[in-house]
Amino acid sequence: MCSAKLPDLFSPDVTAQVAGAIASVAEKSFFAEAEPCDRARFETLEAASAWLVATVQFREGACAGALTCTVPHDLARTLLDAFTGRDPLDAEPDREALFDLVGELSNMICGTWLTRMATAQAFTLSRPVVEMVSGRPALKSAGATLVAVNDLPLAVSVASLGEDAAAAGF
Amino acid sequence: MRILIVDDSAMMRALIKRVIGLTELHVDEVVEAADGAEALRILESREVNLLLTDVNMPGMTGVELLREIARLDRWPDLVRVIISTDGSASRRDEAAELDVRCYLEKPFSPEVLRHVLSQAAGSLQS
Repeated sequence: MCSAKLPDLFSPDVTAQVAGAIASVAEKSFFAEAEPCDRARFETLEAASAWLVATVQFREGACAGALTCTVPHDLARTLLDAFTGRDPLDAEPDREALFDLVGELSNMICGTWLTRMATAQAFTLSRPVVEMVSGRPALKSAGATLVAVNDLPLAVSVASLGEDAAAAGF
Repeated sequence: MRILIVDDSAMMRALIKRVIGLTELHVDEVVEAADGAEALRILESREVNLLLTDVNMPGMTGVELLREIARLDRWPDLVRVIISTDGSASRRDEAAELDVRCYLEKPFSPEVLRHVLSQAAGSLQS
């Protein structure tokens, strides 16, 4: 259970704070606008068939959770171009670069959100774990934060991992 | 000026290196490390004036690296800067105790990083 000093990181209201963190990261690091959208619109946004799913775990004392970013391949490539100054007409970036980019994206969203939610506490973040999946993945929680970046879908969900995970570390 | 960038993300190291290239600072060399242990090996093998380090990294973290630098007390003139997603007050307090000159939160705009680099370069000259 999270400390009483911490706000409830896993309440349904958390999507507004996560959306704020996504908007900040999108603007500062990728010069992009993240527009909140509802589930109906999210499902209609067209995207590549391959998706990248990045998960960062975080813990502080007895509090542990995970933040998961779900990004279609074409948005990952657009963000990579913006982040590195790569020419979009250049050859397809390698898989390692895309995984690194989506991992760093999830890391920045998680760090920004946690800093805003609990500025007095220093959380430890795990190294992001990134995987590629085929087809639009099912979102891990009903309370996922859904946004459109350059008319492409991006979903971020957070979940509690419980005291056992906090005690076990990463 | 010789700069050491410590971050486990190659993408982030590339971004920081690109912004350094956009400044008007006289930079002789930019070296990269993926974690604190690699950074220590580099510090022991060549002169570095400015250290830019992330906090959360596998192996030796940025805070552990800074603690080791302080313990060894071999690089008193090394200007230390943290670039991290963790902007919490307690982490900033910890950094201040480890002689960190600037604390830059990710995400950052290139202009903010350029400003921090100019500040750090200024403290090297003074």
